[in-house]
Amino acid sequence: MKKNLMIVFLLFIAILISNSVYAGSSEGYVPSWKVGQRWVLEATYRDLRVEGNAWMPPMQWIFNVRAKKTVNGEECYVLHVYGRKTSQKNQAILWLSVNDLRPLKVIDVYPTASGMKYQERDISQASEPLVSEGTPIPYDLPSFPLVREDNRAQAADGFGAYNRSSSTNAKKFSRIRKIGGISFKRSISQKSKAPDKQYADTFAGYSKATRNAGQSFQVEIDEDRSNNKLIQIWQQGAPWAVSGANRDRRVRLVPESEYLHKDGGEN
Amino acid sequence: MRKLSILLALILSSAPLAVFADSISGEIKPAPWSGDWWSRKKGFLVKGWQGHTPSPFEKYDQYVAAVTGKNPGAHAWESNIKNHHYNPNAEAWEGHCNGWSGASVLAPEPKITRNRGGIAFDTADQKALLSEQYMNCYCNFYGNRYWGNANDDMNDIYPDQFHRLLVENIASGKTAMVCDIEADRMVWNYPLYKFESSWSTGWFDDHKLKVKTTCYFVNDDVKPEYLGTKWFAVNYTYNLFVDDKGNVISGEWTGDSKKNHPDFVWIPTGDARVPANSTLENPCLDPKHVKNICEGPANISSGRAAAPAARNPDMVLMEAGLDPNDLF
Repeated sequence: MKKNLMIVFLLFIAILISNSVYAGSSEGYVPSWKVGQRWVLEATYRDLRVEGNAWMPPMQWIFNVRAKKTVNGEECYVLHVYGRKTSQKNQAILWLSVNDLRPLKVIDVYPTASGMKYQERDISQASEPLVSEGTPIPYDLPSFPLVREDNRAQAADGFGAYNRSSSTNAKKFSRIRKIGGISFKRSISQKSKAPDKQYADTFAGYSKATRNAGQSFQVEIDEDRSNNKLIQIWQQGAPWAVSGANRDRRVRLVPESEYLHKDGGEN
Repeated sequence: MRKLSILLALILSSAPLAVFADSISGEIKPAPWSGDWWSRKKGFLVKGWQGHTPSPFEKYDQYVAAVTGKNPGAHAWESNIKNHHYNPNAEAWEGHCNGWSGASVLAPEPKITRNRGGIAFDTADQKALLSEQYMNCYCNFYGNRYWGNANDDMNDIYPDQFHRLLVENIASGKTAMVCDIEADRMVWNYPLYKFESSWSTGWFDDHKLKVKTTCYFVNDDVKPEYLGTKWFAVNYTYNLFVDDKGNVISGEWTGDSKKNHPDFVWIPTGDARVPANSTLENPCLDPKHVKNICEGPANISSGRAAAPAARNPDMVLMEAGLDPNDLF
């Protein structure tokens, strides 16, 4: 009798645990950071002005979580992005909601012939993807949380979910922006799903801990008539998309082991 | 007669009589500077020109040799026809217009002669070096370059995108932008720094804004010694189509602008190193030396400029007018 009771109890606990895990995963994924945390993105840029497939030398960008502050009553990460080399003068400061990384304020800092200047971007308060434009800094962010309707558990190597007929989670955003007396409507779509098999190599440089930290997502952000679809791969446990690419930019999250020991410092 | 009056009244009452009109303009100050576009055929960079010898690259090599003890070979590289920067048989339109455009947007205009270790770099020499240095630069690119392929869209860059770029970058005072002003396969890059735009809805079509925009481009049809901004203006006409809520959703070039409109737009964001095995830019030209020549006081007797102070990211923010203590 006692044995039966124990089995029932264990089954009950198991059901509770599985339910809570399921509830957690169905809410989706939002990266979380700590103040002081930093990471490096490396971006290469295609020169679309010239003939052929010409790619420029890569630039590395340091993403530094400098503080947490309150903007419009909402707690935000203050993310400072700057070039690893001082010759890269562009910078950006992003205030991103702790809850869903929704941008509440973005400042772009850029060089001009008459010195450095800055401009605050006109940011929609609605949850929509943040598309990096007018700056070489690849701070593109999808609308979080990321969900993947294919919630099957991945294999221990993190790649178990590839190459399945995963269903897609799609969102549409219409953004109206009045500038210079005229309203412009821009339509942006975002899809998230399990990564296609071709992106399996993306994870090769990352630690096993990161690779096995949880789900991975392929996010596609596309603006009507832009001919510039962005595809990012996000992996739970990594602070930013581990890779991203559109027609003129390829970005990768530099593994810590690579940038901490390479040249020792930021100049 | 009465019937005619009634008919006229009916027509007028059914048409949207109220024509909506508005305008916007913008100008970047200081404007990008005019400069020579350094024709490949003429070869001023390596041969100099009447009344101007030695050439800018000969002076550069002399300067670097004096500072480092080693000739960098910039003149030899630039003179080599295989590198496609100088060729007496080149097409008449081939040159360094993209390098000049990038430099004129991102680098201050050299306005004084600078003597470095007894070598006098006048403003034309300095503009020559800057134009070569910015041949390869990072930029934000808009539109699609027209190559003449079957699937290339002659309407691109679309006027609604072009208009938005004008407002976002120039009316806001952010930055000048560079346009290839030829919609066809040829490329003529010019910095655009000023525009005036006005529009109105049609009498019978309030889903269409008829726009007339005058763009002011910086001219490179000047002598190498030219100082300041010489400009030329181009008028563009286009329609912007709006949805039921008045939001622009697309556009079309009209009139002469169907064939005569910018092909693509790029906004330089910074100088770039030369990729390996690339001949896009002279690899023997070191931005550090160009900076020492083109910035700082008029006279430095030793040739060596003071080492630049180390800058951390917060100092760049302060240079832009931001206070890191407030931000973080």
